[in-house]
Amino acid sequence: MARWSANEANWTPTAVADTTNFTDTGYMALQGGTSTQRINIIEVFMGGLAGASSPCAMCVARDSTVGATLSVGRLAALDADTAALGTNPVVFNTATTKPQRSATLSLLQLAFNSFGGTVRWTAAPGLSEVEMRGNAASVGETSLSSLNTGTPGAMTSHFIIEPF
Amino acid sequence: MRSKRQAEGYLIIENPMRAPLPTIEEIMSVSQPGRPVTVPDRVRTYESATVTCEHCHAIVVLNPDRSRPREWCFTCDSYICDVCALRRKQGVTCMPLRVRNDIAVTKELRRLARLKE
Repeated sequence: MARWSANEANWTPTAVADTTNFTDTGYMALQGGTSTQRINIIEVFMGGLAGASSPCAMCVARDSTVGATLSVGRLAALDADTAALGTNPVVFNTATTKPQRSATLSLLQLAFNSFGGTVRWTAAPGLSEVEMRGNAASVGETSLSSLNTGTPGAMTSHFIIEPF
Repeated sequence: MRSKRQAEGYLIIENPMRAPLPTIEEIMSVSQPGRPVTVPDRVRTYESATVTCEHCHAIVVLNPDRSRPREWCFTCDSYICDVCALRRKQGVTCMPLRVRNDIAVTKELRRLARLKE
């Protein structure tokens, strides 16, 4: 299947504790388009845009409460000839029912300083990708958010994904 | 022939606005007996291999100083994290997340097919 980029440009994380509602535009989340859709996360990237030192305790984690009534963000195929998906995965940072990060299912801890810092995690192709399934808690939604510490600054970020 | 290294992902964290770590010689040149040493923190770039646990898909950043062997599940022929290794020792059988996802998706597709009938 084809690879897609789910991304958010120039957003500032809001520090939030586990199992606490996220704040709109203060996180980036990815949810399956249907109850049977499977998504592999192949790469996570963050590039700092802050103008002063901003330690960010960023965490990629599964969500114990998924968002609902979502405001869809940026999603684009990496290959120009990719056919349209039947149902797109949903990348979002705004929702009426706010998502909550799981306290036990964190996948990556990626602390860095967004004053010019960058972070990039890449899976070994076909062997170590993170799998998502469906659109219900907990494996149906994965979020990139700030833990309840540090002083997060502006950044840009993307997930490279492969939906099935 | 397959290698365990093929399963490794890659992590890089860069903080270019920070100065690099000082050398031991630089630290020794400013240190005085009985007095604390203050040197600028210079870490700029951190790179590491990562592995993904096949049972829970937790991503483990490999510590090069670790002396204990990494856990390996011979049933699914993959790395597993220390938590899943403990569960295995407690008697939990191997069930990779991909297999659990396959089972769940099949059940859901059958349920949706029955609803259509």
